[in-house]
Amino acid sequence: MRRADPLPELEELYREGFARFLRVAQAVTGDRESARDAVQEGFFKAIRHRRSFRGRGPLEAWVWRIVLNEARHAGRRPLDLTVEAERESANGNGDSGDEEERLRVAVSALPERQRLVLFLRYYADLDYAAIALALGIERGTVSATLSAVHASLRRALTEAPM
Amino acid sequence: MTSIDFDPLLAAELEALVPLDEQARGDWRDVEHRAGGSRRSPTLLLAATLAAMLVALLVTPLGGALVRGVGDLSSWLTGSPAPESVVSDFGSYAPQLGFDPEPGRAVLVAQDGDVILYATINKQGTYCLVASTPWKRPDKLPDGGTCISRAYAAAPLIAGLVGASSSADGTQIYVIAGRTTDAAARTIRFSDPTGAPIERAIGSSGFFVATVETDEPACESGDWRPAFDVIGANGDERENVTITLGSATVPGGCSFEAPHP
Repeated sequence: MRRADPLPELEELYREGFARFLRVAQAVTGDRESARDAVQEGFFKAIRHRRSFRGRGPLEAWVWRIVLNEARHAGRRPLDLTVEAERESANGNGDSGDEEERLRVAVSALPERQRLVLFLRYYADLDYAAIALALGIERGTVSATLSAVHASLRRALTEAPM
Repeated sequence: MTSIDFDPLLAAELEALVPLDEQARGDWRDVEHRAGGSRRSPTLLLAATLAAMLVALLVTPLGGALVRGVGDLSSWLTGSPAPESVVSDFGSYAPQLGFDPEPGRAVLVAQDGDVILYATINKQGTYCLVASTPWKRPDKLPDGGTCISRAYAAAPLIAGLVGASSSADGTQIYVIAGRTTDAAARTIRFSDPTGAPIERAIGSSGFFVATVETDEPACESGDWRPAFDVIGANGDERENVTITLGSATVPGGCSFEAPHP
């Protein structure tokens, strides 16, 4: 049976999920403008290639995959969080600065796969199944990866390794 | 969100790094305009141009000779076989994002003390890397490694961070790995964040790995952007390339990249 044109679904996903897509893209590119362009270009490609969507898994996971690919190629400075850091500095809130810096460095040092799983879990609010579909990996791999990420980051926050 | 493997404390910390901007609004009309056909993506144009050039190259005698000269793209990767834990690490994550590593071809390509670099080829014609370090062994903390893009793999020299830690006394530990395509290269030389020279032997197939320990953060004095000297068997400098290993994002902060040109 022929699948209905997913264009309206794409528009709804864009309008409702834009902030989350932008957030993850920004974490990947390290730059808000690059992130915005990655989201725009990602959805443009989703529209253009929507006929190739086979319906295996939700449309959202398919779009995440496209947007992530755009973001990965748009940025060469993962988690360059200058804007947020400067904002905090300007606010004079230095109490948690060391901890945040350790976390920032630790996240930056994670392998790309681990970073993406982390971002999709915490910034995109996706569950294991959706993350697995978005990254093209097994669900069990998501679980194992996230466990490894948790271990690394907890260690970074408690013992100061990165 | 489901509750599986969700760490509320970590979530709070991560929230501060990249806050959700609920006021952020996209521009759907811009997306539609891009998709409207009036504008072809520069990437698509470039891909089409490269495809046309490739076809033109292949149908010419010179092109055929070049392709024959390149031969089996996977035959260049040599080294001692990787242990099962590394094979499993590569394999457990296949296919990676856009890459299909071949776990069975994994080999040890470079070593610096107890830090070991493994590589394997992938179906995309490049390679993937896994670093084994005292704080991250593949059997205990698999991560699937990092795959290198075609553009990066074709560069004469790439280098970047594949691991990091710090000791109780505050010493920063960075694991830098990379590869030179120069078959005559024997040694790689660069400098640590303080400017102190680092020199390591090139391993198999042009790969190298170096553990760098410093008393101060990598970007304490700005970007960590050393010049890499590729040294030949006679001590001759064959290549000199500057690569940014760490970018100073905020005072004392540093952003690292995986191996890149």
